[in-house]
Amino acid sequence: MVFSSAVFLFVFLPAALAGYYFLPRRFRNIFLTLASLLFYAWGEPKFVLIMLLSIFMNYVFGLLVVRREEEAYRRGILALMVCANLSLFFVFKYLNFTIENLNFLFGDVIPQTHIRLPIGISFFTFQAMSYVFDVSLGRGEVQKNPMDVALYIALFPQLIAGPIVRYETVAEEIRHRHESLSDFAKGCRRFIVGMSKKVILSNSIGILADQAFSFEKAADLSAAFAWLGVLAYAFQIYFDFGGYSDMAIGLGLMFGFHFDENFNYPYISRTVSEFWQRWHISLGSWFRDYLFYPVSRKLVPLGKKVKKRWGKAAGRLVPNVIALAAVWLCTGVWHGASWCYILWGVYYGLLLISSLIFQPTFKKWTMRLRVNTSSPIFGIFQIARTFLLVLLGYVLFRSSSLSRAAEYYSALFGLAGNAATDSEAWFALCQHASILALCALFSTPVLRWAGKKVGGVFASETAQNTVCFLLLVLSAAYIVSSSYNPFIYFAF
Amino acid sequence: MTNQEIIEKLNGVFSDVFDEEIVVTPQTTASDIEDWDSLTHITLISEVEDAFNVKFSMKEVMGMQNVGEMIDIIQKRI
Repeated sequence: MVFSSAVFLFVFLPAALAGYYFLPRRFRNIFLTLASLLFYAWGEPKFVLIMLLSIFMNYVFGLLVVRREEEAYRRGILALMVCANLSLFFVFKYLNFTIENLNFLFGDVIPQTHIRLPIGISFFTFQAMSYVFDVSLGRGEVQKNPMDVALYIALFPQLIAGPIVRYETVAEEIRHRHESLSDFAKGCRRFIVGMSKKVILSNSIGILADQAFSFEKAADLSAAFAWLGVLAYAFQIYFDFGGYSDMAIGLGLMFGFHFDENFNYPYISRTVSEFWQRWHISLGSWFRDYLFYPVSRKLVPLGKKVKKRWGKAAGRLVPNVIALAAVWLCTGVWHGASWCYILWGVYYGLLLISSLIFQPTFKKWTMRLRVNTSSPIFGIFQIARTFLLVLLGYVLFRSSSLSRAAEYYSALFGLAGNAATDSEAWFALCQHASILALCALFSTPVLRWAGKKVGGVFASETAQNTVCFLLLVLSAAYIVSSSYNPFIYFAF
Repeated sequence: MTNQEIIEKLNGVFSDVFDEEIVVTPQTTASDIEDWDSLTHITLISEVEDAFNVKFSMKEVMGMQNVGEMIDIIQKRI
């Protein structure tokens, strides 16, 4: 079930809210858990069993890991937990791909599997692992009741497409949450804003992105159209995924849960490193806390050895480079069983590693050339440079194969025997001009800034509610009338 | 060791890790120091551990919100 669909908006959500608030408090968790399982089963009648298996498995691991205090014991249980979760994850997401590639290398020796991907498995698997990790770290109490673990993992607002809510964030709220009218109102507004982003902005600009990326021959794709296409995709995916995260956070609020933010205006980032602190924050911080920190901690002795031979700078660089490589390879793989996603992860890994290695050199040169790094012009340069790097990465992310990506890159730079501009590009620009402008505008925190400056009646709750009501009507109209409602992160 | 002595020693460690003169207070957080991010965090932690001969747990490393918390943990462990 997709949030921006009629059945969710007019049937499931009202029923879930009504049931939740009319039931006495002690039945609310069970009701919400069952509703969430129903929500998942609606789209995955068979695979809901896989999710139940994952829930039960991690419930048991949670109980096991707190049984004894010894480091060695806990580490053993955690290793087992990670293996079990990743095995399940591997089979359902990566087995087809692995067999395909092995067969390619060694001739068709293994019968090709065609296992379907359970919706949301990337999200609930990582969330389940977060439960056991946080319990073992003492960042949340273990749940003796399996229904409460199920509630955490399967909670429908964040089940399908995140945010990857960390157990620590909601551990307290599973047992003791306080729903309030003001949270409910905030949640409604947040949900409506998210839905509008997805249905009005993302779906509309997605048409342009799809046009560009479904080129038949690279020679027919003018460079201008190619750039327009990737720009359109940048907006499509941001408002699609960002909008969905807004809806998830809003829904959480309606039931008294407070999730962390998942996006923070990523396209105004000045560096690629900053971009990843503003984009898909829940994934970046998951990898930082559960992969990057443990790996770089483990590599500290290696760093000290390197420092003795090659100096302080190298000693610090080596553990970080190795840990970054691990994180970015995993990030690419997490996104999907395809070489495009893996290469995309490697792309960002290389960007971040090289920025780490060349940072002192860059600092030296900006000082030597007397560049004013705090001037607004330098800021604009940084934002443009980062956005350009992000756009180039999107070609890999969006392309259905490496060869398609290569063709698209050559079109971007006029190397495919294609024209620089053509009438199609101009037409597309004119047709989507207002949507593009709106997308660009709402990629910046302009409303937040304006709200602070103007304040008063324009920023009041009444004004917000009015705008949201209008957006709700507009979005509902879009949903009911449109058949074009792709959802990119659904495939994760 | 008094808190002030700990802070003085931390100033030395921070200045060494970030290559500039740094003076910390219990309220100092990562957003106060430009180069203090997840990449330098582990280096910083390991140098603090060496300087005071203490060991932080993974939970403490991940959850540390400001220098004040660091000082508290060091006080407990010395």
